[in-house]
Amino acid sequence: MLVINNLKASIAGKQILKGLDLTINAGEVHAIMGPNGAGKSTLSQVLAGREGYEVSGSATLDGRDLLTLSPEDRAIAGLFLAFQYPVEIPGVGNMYFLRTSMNAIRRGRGEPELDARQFLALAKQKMLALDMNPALLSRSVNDGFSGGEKKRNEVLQMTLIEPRLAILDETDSGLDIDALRVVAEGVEALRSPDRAMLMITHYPRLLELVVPDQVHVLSEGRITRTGGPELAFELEEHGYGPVPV
Amino acid sequence: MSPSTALLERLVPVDSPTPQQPDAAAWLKANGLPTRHDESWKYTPLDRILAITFERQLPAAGTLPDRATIDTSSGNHGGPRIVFVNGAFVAALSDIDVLPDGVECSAESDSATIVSDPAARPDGFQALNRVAGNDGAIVRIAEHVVVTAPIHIVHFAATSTTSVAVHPRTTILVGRGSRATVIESFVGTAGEHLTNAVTTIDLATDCTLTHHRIQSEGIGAVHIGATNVVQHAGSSYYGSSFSTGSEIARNAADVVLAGPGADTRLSGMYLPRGSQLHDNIVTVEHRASRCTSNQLFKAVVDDRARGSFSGRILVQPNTVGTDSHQTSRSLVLEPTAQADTRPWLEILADDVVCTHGATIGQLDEEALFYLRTRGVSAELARSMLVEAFIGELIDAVETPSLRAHLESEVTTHLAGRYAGHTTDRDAADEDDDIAPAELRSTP
Repeated sequence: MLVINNLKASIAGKQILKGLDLTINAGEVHAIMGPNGAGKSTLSQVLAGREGYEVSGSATLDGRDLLTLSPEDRAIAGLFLAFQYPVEIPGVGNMYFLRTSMNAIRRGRGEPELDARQFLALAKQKMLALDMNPALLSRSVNDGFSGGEKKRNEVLQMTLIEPRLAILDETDSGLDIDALRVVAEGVEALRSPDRAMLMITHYPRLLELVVPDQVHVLSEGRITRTGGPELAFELEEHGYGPVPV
Repeated sequence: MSPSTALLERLVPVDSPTPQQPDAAAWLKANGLPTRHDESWKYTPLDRILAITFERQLPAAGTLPDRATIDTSSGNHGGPRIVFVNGAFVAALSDIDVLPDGVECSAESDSATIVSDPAARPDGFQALNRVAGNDGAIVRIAEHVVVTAPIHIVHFAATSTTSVAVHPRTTILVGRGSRATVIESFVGTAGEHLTNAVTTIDLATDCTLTHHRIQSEGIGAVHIGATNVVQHAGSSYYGSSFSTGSEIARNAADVVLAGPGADTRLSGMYLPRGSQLHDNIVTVEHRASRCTSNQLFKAVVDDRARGSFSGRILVQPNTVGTDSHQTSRSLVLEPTAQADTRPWLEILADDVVCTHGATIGQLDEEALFYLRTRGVSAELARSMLVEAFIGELIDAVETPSLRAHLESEVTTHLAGRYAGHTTDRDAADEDDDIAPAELRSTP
């Protein structure tokens, strides 16, 4: 589903990704771990279409070249990025935002849009599952939300949009253990044979709750190791250094 | 002959001095129109205005609009309505036959009824208004009445064969302990013309006036507007201005807090785009003790437009307990757009709390990217952020029909840039589970 070949990215003359290869098939959940500065967030930003990077190589989703698409067209093509730091947008109501987003994507996919009533019913149902206060719908987007509320708002968007490929950029950071469980359940519920997920994380905590099919180590701009779920715990014990003999 | 003298020759009636306004005529003769050396006219391009050959407007000239045109251009707010077309009162378009108790609305050419104006700082265009104007609207609210329906004054500039100059006049007198809302709309279909408007407001003790001033004249218009307010003890003035129209628009507000404990809240939204120029000049004078004032002005400047704000706070000696605040925020969407903001504080007393803040910035790139990763097109994302920026000013309008009118006015105004997108906010507003005001919560 997602095929990345020899992806390189640099910003302000500094190369961050140095030829990254990664393939994720439909139905699979992969995790990327790695030390700070390895390029984990750059990978997610470049895939989502952030401007300002010089990018070469290729990244395709269902055979479509992602790198030439605008961020909004990537979203319509099926890519979703849960932000490490969800952006606060004062003055834009969260419900208005969520519905505009969902309908923009549905429109782009040729699906019928939801009217206000249909949307509200759906949003409330999804929020209940994520243990979210419905009052967050009537606040500005992420404005004054706690860290946990912001992350849940990201997962809420993911469950509303139902993307083909979800990238979760440190969605587990800043969550207490209860919030982590709720978020993990939300992610796990989206696991499906026609969807792929990529979890970027520092810690194996999330990977205990959402067990990945593969774990990759991203180090100095490349995937340096790949293994099964057990690799996460090995990394926790031994660090990201060279493969132990 | 200077362009200024030439303009006055054309616009001042030949049979002047107008008997009712000998002072204004004499003042104008002695002082003439302002020049670019006058600080408060710094951001208004007088040379461009004086280069236009404006003609004196005779009453009843121009094509009369119908009621539907008035409704579309300025909204129908359900209360008394006084309509002027090119400066002349049009009874057929007005609704003042049946008025709420305690409300008098009239249109009079007898300018002797105009109250003396202690707030007015001498100004050539205001003097010209007095000398050359025709009919004026007069709204008088008796003592101790609460008027719920908004009183709507419409100044419509109708299409004419020449570049006419009209001088709308409005006088609002609110009696002791009363409460009312007045909406003034400056609209029209005319191309190049001059609207030189003066609104005079006198607020008696302990009354409250909410006053909305909407300037959405045609793109060829030159609009020079002045609102002069005198507040007596314990009175409250809530004035908001919304500017989307005209090629050149100057919006001046001059508030004198003349009695102790008076409260003023002024807000303004101006959205110049294309080659429009919007200049806002605010003066708040604390002449009495324990008065409070607040100014909040927001600009969105696009294309090659220019938006300016000068906010003057004057605290007179021998006053105590003044509390005065001023905020100016400008959003500049293009490198070719320009915003100016100029706080102008003269504090001549000691016991004063006075703050001012100004920001000039661009759209938040992080927020734009975030919205786009959610499938929202770049253009719609921009318009969402622009509308969020000015949303609090529109949301603060308590008259629902005016709020709706302004929202559609703003959307249409921005539509030149954001063509092809419809927001589904209107549909969302119909939802009854969440109050409309909450849909766009503001910080």
